[in-house]
Amino acid sequence: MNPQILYVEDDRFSRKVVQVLLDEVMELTKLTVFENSEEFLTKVEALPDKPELIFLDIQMKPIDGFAMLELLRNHDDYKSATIIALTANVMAHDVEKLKEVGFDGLIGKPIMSDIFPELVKRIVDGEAIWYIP
Amino acid sequence: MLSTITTFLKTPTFQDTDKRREFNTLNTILITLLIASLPAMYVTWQLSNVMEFFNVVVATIIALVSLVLIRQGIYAVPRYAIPGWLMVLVTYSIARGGGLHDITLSGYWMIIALASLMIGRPAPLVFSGLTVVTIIGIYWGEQNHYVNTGRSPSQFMDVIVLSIFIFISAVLLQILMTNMEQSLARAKESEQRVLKLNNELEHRVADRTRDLTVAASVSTGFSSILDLHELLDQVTTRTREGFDLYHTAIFLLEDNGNSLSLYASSSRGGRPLAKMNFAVDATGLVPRTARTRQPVLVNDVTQTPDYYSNPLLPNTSAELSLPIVSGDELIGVLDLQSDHAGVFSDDYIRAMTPLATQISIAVKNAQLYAETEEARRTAEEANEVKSQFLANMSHELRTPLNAILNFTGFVAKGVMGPVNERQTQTLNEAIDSGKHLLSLINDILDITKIEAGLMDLFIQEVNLNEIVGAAASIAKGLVKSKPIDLHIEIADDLPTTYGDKRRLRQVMLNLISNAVKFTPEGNITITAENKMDSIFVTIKDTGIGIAPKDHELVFDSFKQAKHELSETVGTGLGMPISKYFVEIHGGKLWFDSVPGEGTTFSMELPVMTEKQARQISEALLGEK
Repeated sequence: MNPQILYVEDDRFSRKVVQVLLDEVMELTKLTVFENSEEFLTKVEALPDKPELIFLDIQMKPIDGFAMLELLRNHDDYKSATIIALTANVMAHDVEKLKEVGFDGLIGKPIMSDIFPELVKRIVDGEAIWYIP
Repeated sequence: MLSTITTFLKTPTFQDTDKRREFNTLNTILITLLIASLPAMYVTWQLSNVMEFFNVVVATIIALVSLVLIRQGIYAVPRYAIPGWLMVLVTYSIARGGGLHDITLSGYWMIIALASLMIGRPAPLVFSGLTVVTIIGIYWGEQNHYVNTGRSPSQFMDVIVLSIFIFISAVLLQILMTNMEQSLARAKESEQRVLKLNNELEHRVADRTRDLTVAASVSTGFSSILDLHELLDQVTTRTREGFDLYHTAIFLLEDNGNSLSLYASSSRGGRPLAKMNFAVDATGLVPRTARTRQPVLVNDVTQTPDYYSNPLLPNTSAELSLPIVSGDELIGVLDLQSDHAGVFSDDYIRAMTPLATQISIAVKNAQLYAETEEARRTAEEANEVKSQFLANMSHELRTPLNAILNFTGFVAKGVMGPVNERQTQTLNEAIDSGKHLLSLINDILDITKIEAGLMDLFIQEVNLNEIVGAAASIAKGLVKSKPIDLHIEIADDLPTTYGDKRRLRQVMLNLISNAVKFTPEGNITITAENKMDSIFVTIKDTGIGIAPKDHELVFDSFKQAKHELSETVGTGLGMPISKYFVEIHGGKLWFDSVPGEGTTFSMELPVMTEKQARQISEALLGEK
């Protein structure tokens, strides 16, 4: 198990946490990280390998997680990618909205490092995970 | 031929009863005369009395002609012809018979009476005059031997006496007739007056009924229009159309009752007036109505000094201003204008007053609705702000915690390089504190949402076996470091229900972690069973228990925070939050406790359909 992973996150601490967990703890090495959502689709298309698992932060600039999801879902190459929201917006109505617009799952912040690897594993295995700490 | 005659002789129809009565009288007399003339003709023919026979024939002809004439509406000829001819007959008999000596007055009196009946008031004098002339004629004829009765001629005294008698009789008859006619005329006049009064009354009743009906239909549905401007537009338009007025307008009192403002108007074939505003003490009928709170009725505006002539309404001839009053409060003025002078009346005011009342109620309703709407909007905005604030706070607290918890964890687990046991232990304590902080944040957010009425549920299918099972396995982890025996008795037939999975899990975890926290050593027993469409969960510990004085504080979020109980229990918000979630899932949460012996928390949770759960969720959202 070593899928192509894309992570879009503007908070550098969150980036570091997820990078350490995925890359160092879980040894999922095929990880690309975007620090903002500028020219998002162009940058995704420029990737040498098509990402299979995508983690999106929601509160981002210039476009937010919902806009990024829409761009991906309207693109033939990423229509079927697994897209997970990785966000601190975890109020009930936020979660409902994430489900409505077509996210495949949610891992809420703060990330619980002791169960994060298991959650990712289950997501890769095709399970719908909606985890709020 | 016969049918032509029948048609010709047919009795005409009369609208007027007097005319009919007159016709019937004449008709009866003439037919009687006609029937009597037939045997008379026969007898005179048999007696070969030519003169007599001729008389009867003339009478018959007069009767026949008269019968025809009255059917053509000609009455004068038969009226005069019959008594006239009778007179000729009587005179002839006197002249042929015994002269003036011999006559009784009865013959002439009969003639005069008959004439009076048939002709009316002038007849007695006319016919008495004719009679006197005839008497004088006969006397003159006798004196000059033109008339020979075969008896000695009459004396002049006879003429005088007879004439006086006839004249007196005629005058008496005339007086009688005049009196009778006057009485008749008076009776007729009163009858006419009654009829006219009746008519007027019927008219007024009809008018008033129409006005009231229009007023009622105009005001139908007013109270259901909640937008003030739409309501007033409807009122002015419908009132103007319903009563066929030239112009209608509604002014509402503003500025603490100091000014009147035009809210709506409707003109026949015209545009509504532009917004206008004037002081209550200004000149004009509308301000006068507002000042006096009485209807002001002007049926001819040219005669009214304080009529305010509006150049946009050149045809206004009459104006009626009605106060719109609710209780003691003047709300505004309803102004009606007509292009016909004199159309307004007290009846009109009476018909319009209920309409003005209806308008006042509708306006009050609309104003109240607008106020409520405004309050609701403000509350909604305030809630929106609160909700947004909570969401932001949650986000802003979770983001740094993410770094704190995970970086500490990485160091503790040696990801960032080797650490010794003491360092690991200290870092793990930092992690525990961070996790505790997260649970505090969650609790505070929850209780804030509950108190603000902003809590929302995420309804989905809930497998209770899974929830209770997961809680039990977490309990196993929690008691590991403590001398506690854990007993788990969970039935395997726990049903599937609908609700907020995360919240139900939160309740179970809270109950279990509380039991572990307050049980230094001993037993904890978790049971779950399915009974009568509800599941019952108990968590029984042999811990320190809760003092009776604290019982009522366990589920109270505010009191507890001030109480010493809070020293041992984190925020102390876990229990009130749990109780809230159980109750909004339609269930119950309670406990029994003996200090020093332990506590049993029990939960009853009804199995719900998706529809029921959604209804609860929607009701919660509706409360916002």
